[in-house]
Amino acid sequence: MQDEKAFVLELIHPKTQNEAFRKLLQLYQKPLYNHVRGMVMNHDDADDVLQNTFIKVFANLKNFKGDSKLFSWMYRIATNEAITFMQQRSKKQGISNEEVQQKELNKLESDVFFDGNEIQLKLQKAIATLPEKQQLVFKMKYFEELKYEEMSEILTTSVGALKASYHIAVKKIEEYLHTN
Amino acid sequence: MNMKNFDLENNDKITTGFKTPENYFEQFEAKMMQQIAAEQPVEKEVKVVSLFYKKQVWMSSIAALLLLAIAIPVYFNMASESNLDATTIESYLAQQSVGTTELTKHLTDEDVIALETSLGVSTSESDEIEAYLSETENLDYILNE
Repeated sequence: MQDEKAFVLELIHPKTQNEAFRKLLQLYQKPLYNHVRGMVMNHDDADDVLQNTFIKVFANLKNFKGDSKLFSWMYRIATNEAITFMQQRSKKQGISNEEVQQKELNKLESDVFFDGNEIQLKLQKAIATLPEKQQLVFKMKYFEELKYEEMSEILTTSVGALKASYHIAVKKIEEYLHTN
Repeated sequence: MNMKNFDLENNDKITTGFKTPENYFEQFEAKMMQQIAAEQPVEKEVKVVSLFYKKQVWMSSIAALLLLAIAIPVYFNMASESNLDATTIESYLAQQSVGTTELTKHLTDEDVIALETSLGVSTSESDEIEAYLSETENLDYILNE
């Protein structure tokens, strides 16, 4: 974004707020949807989480300090919303986060909004075997194709640690795909 | 794709396979714009509530001032009235029927002795009266007189 500060001001000012927010939606709804969908797996849940994310973004814009980029700030909110959503689900059902994910994976094959082939399904299963943070790093790098610098701002982790984490994830996934 | 030589970095990219309903993003944008619009009048309502709250504060401070204005003179009047003189007490006692038990309750031993001497009844005499009374058969009758 050419001038982020000016855009943030437009988002806060009551007169320009609506049009600026529409622009924000058009810019970020797709990448944020993909990010959230990758975490919660099914479309309806992703839709819920994305709504909560934009409502939170709207409500907190006046508190946005500009310490980080608007883009990474929004990704951070979306990530937190998705994590909270999954935690609430596991609490409600009285099962672990991993079990919730396993359930979602099993539903994928019959999901009308998933048309993956065998290898795509297998890749999702391989990712699910990784620790939570590694899963997130892998998805953000491999599927969402974010830069390490961007990921570093979103996840508040050093670039070096992210690179290491990604390479471990790739090795484990390749191993899984070889043996299964 | 040969799984045996699987290489994520160099093979063709595998996509997620996730799809969205048709026109999902257009609809999502419209839905969000509506929600945002719905959230704006709520803020105005909050302002109304805060004005009402201010009014409440004003009303309660006026009420408190009024209460003080009434209470202070009453308090000072009461304080001056509490300096009672002997005549007021006397006339009060005269108007009220104060029983003997109520009065004797407050008497000390010295008071009793002072009373006995002023009435000319010595302790030895009262002992005699007591002894006589206890010997009398019609004690109940006398006591109930």
